[in-house]
Amino acid sequence: MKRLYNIILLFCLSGILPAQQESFTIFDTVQLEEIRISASVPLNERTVLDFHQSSNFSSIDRINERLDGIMLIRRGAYAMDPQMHGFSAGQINVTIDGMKMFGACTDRMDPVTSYLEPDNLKTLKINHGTAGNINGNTVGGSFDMLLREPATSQSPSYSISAGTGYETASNGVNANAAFELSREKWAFRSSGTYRNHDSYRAGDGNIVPFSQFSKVNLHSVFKYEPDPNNIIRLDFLLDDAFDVGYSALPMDVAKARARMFSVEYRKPLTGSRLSNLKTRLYYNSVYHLMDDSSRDSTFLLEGNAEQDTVYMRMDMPGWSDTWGFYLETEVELGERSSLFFKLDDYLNFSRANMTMYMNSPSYPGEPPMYAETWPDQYRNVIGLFASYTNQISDDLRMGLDTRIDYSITRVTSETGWRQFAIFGYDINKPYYHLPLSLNINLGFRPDKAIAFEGGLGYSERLPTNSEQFGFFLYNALDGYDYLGNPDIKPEGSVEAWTRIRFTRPDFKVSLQGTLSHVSDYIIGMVDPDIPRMNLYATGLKRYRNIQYANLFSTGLQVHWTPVNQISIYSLSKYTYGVTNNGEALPLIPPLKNFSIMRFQEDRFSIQVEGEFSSAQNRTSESFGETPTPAFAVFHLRATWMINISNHNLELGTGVENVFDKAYSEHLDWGNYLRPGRNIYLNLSILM
Amino acid sequence: MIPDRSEPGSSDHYGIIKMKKNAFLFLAISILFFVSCEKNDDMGDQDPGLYKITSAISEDGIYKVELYSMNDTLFEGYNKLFLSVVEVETKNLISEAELGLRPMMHMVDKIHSAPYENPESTASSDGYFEGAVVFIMPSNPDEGWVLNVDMNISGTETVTELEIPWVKYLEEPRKVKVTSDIDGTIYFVSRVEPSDPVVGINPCEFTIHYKESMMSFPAATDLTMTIEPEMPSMEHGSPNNEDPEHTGKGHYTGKVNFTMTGWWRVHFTLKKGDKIVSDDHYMDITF
Repeated sequence: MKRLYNIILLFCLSGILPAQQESFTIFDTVQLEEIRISASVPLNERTVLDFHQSSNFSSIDRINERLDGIMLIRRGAYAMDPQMHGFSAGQINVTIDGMKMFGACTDRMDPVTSYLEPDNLKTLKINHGTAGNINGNTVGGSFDMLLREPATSQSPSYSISAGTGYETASNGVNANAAFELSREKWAFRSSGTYRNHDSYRAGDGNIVPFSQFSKVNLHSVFKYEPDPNNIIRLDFLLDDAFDVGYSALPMDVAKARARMFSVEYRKPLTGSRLSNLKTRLYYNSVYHLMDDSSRDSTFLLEGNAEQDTVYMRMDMPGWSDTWGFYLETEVELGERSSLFFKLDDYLNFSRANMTMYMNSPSYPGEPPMYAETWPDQYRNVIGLFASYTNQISDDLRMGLDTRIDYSITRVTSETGWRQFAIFGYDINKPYYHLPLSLNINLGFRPDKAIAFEGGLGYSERLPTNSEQFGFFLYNALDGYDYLGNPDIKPEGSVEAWTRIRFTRPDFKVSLQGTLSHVSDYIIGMVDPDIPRMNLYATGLKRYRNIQYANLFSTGLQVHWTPVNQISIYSLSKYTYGVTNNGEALPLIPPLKNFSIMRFQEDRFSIQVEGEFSSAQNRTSESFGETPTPAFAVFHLRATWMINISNHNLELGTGVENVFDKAYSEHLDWGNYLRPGRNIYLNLSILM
Repeated sequence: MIPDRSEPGSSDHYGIIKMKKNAFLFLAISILFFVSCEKNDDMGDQDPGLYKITSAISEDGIYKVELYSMNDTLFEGYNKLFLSVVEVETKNLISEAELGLRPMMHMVDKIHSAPYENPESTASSDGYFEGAVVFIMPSNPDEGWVLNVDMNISGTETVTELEIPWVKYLEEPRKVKVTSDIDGTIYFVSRVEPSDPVVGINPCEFTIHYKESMMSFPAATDLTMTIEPEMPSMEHGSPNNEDPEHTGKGHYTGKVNFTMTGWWRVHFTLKKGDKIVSDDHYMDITF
């Protein structure tokens, strides 16, 4: 048993595993599998192949990048913003074990994914589109990160693992360590990750300024299991990032700090009519402090009397606290059908403000300027989710689900009220929303090797605090200040999706397509009557509901094992987005392909990867987008596992961007170049 | 495996109830929170808190006049003045009186007056006669202001001479002297509001007087005014301002919006009919 854990642990240490396993899973006609789950990526098991493992220390961003339907919006080398089928930010639902958490940055410099490390995660659960509504209303899909849980063990055992790695492009050091203790009735696990990277070197040989970052992440979990039907677990998560550069933004981050606490109680009650009862109570707190003190373009250089064209420094702190709970259970209706219920509620408080210190020599002694960029606001959302699954026949399965939320949003800051009074809004009142969603999914498997799945759905999502009450938030992509629209309506998406899977032991193909018609699509529109506020801004945009936008997304995965030692995996994804005026939606990625060939012989593996992107010439002019050229980059990796006196040692090395190509992707803000040739060396040990 | 169901009353059973209770309690609290947020802010009328500036006995010795202001020192610009009149012998507070203000600047080589607004003949409920003076220059050690109050109380006429201890110069002027581009007339534009600027919508009120002679500064009632606020160092303005319109006695009232705290400059243009009196003046407002 201990050995098994050791192996599992080693694997999780040894990087993050891939998977896509789920998307190739053969239907089990007896066990009711949720059709809704688009992908479940188990992070602590080495599955068939390591196609998503780019190194031992892959961040969540790295894994996401290689998943079907997911792209990353990049503003620097850190904290990339996931995009699913062209949907991002408030359109998608990012949760931690079903717990809501919201970044505290008005400029989305801290998506929730940036506060977690794969080391602490068990599984990534991804539901695309309107069907991602289990943990909250969404139009784009859900991304749930399940936290690791230690296992109890009949005989007392423990394990320790540690690893470290070095990367040349960013002079970067990664290190992680984990400790797990298992007893008959309880178990404890604590793991931590440390990363410290300088600004990296791009393919053109130049350093990309402000691409450095450092972070510490720690997760501790205690589980008490007096009997198999009563499990209590306590989680604590800490994440501190500091000195994080954002090349594409006018500001960096001095500090991004998250703390999370949760208590979970569950009763598996396997085999009974009512099963998998689970409830969780949680609190998390995020503090985010932007910093422009090291930007010479905006202030006096530190310790240097030389002055620049702009003489301003800004403090932009943000806070986001969330309290919540959920309760879920499954009800078996018969041998072939079941119901699932989830009741959840959360209360989020957010606040952000901006103080500008002008130090212009023409106007000395100017007092600081203060405005509330997110006036204090509370949002309480209570939601009920229910799904019904029915295995109609051996080859036909149906799923129905619905969700209803009731949301109250209230701005409590007097300054905030007054700020919005300027624009004719009286926001000293509660705002109510009632987003709904309904989905129907069908799975048909006429043959063991082939499966057709498809669904229709409708879902609405709440506007984000920025979209509703943001006050002159600068967007570096289009160079506009954004003003919230208190009366903005929720977006609603009608979606149709289909997936065809062909599965043979040595050859698997999956092709999916999703079509979304989003009414009241929320987008910023220029308002020439309102002057911009931030110095760098070219004008002001207000969030508006446009009539509609259409998005189409498709993905093709092929996995072929011609001989035992060699496997080939290829993932292609493509998204298309258009507004009702026929204009291209901004930040829509072009065709992207990952092709990977892996050779494995016993304890040694070698992997060649190609990453290809077509050019994106369909750009949104009103967002100041420019076309992005096509590129092809190649990576080479090797791992070697050694067993020395019962200790497992894993050595990993590789060269990323072998040909030192200077390139950037379409979703990279400011077209900053990606890292050039990067050689890494990792070492992990498990005792 | 057969599930080990806990019996009611067992610790497990209570455990689950407790968890549920907590959950619902949490929900209840979070909903209550919103209810409790619906507080009413009682911005009750408070005594503005007046400062005594000076006092004097009337020429006939019957009355004592006390001068109050909302500021501890009077300043160059529009000052609201609060006068209380007491009969010295009986200590009765006078509530009906005709008071005429005659501000006078005693300079080294000449004297001149200033724009003023006489109080109503009935005192306010607090016992003050409320008038105003636009001090068009500050005091200096050699030159100072005197406020003569011509009084007519129940037919008895007298005068009180109030020596103004100091009229201070403001770093951020609240009064701007404008020379008309049309005919060279000198106007004095003074800020009444915002007196306490905040982020958001502020009342915007100016008085405009013109110089008829050294002793006469009548209200200018036939001008049109437009304003344009700006943050000079940030090079931006604010939207949805309301240009001040004449509302009587040379007062021009509108609205000015500030999107953040800091240094604002309110540019204004004055017009007489279609002709521009001035379009290159401003008033700074920093908070």
